Amino acid sequence: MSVEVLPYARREDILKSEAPSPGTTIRYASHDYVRDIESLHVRPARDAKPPKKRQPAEKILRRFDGFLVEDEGEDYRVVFIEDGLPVEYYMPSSPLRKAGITASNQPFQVDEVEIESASGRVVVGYSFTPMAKPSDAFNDAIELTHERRSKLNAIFERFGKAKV
Amino acid sequence: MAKLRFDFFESANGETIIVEFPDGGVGIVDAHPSAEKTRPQILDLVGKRKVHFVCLTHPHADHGVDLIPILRNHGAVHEFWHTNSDISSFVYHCLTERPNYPSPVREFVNRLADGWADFLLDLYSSVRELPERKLHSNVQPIEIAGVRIWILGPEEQQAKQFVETYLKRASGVGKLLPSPNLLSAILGIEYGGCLAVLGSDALKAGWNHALEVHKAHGLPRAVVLKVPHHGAANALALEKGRKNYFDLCSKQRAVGILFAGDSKHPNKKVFDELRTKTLLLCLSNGQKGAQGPANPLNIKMPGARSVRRSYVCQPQITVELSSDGSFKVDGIHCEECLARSVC
Repeated sequence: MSVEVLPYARREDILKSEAPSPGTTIRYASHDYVRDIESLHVRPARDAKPPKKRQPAEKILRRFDGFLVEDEGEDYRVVFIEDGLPVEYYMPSSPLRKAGITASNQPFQVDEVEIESASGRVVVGYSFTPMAKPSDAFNDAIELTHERRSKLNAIFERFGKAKV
Repeated sequence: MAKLRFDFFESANGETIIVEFPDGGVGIVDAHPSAEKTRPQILDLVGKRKVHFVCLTHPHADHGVDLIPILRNHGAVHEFWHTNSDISSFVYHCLTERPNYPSPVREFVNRLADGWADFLLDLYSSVRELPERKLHSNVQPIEIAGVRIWILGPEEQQAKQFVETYLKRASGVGKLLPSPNLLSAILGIEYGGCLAVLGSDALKAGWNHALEVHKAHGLPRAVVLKVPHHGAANALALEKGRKNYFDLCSKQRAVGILFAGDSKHPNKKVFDELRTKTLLLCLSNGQKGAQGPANPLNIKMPGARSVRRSYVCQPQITVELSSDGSFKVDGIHCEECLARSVC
């Protein structure tokens, strides 16, 4: 293997020996501080490969089940189930409403998603999915134990019969 | 000198107000479960005094659980006050018609609904033979021992509509049930030319009506305001030019009593407004943050926060109105909060 070492040359000489590239020419306005610069040649990088376009990538970090309890105006009161235990939360109502979560007790799933954008920026977002449509609702009646029934009867006796 | 005394209690689970009349008898406006023991047991607190009335401002557990032992065991209660136009139908539908869905959370939905249903059953079945009084703004003012109690809300029609809507939605499918806060009673208690307004959890619509009733009867401006719904944003209209509950209050000397509820109550804007417009007394400090972590699931979404009970800084505040129109407040010295300039 041999390496050829060229004699030292001034930078200006090298530039003179090369023809101007067909690169972009940027002309500056003639402000005082740049009046010496008439034009600037930007050369395309030689042998540089265009950067690979990255596809946005999504990764699910966590998933919770939950249900809607109450409408509190701008917020919804919801319950999340974490390790088999209910945790009550206030959540901004808009993302849930947009996902179609609008009815009392309607179950939903929320995914905590890590999204890596094309530019490589990583953000965390949430994706709400209803586990049932409002129209899927059915009536889940309470177990009317003897105790409950006798209390209900006491209420009917005192306040009158219920409209059924 | 004869006095009308209000004892306000908070124990991070709701609110209790004991009104002591000049004749020594009391009225109980809501009573919450005192789990943290910052309030004496409700039966000890009332003692053997005559109970002119037990008032459930609206059917929520943080206002009603401790009314149950009074109704069951006190023995000297004269009346039960409430705002529900059809208790039987309301309870029956809450019990028998609860919307649910085929899902892994079905059991949790039922558990929550069971708790709510058992509260209603326990409470209303304890009323037994007691005379009831349905509160709405068409009711004539009630006189007790020289004290006049005005019902500023709810509007009769609004209260009826709530129950009708509730029943209709409960038996339909896929609807959002209306909030029982819509049933909240707004009481104006007048003594010695002074007015104290107890706002329970009344929402904006309720206050619009209360303002009309207040004006129609030519009532004095309130010197005491029990801040409604723990300082929630949906109780106070803050838009410019809109009337709100401050229009009921004396501009010079109103005292606002705030029962902070949980991590959402009081709202920051409401809290700031209260600090400007009243001499604000807190029974807990919602601004300081609630008990426990505010976001245990670490949900990274603006506005997401867990429902945590507020930190209690001042479990009791007492206000006395005298027959000559003066009033006195006790229990505002909370060292911790004064140091932080919060209360």
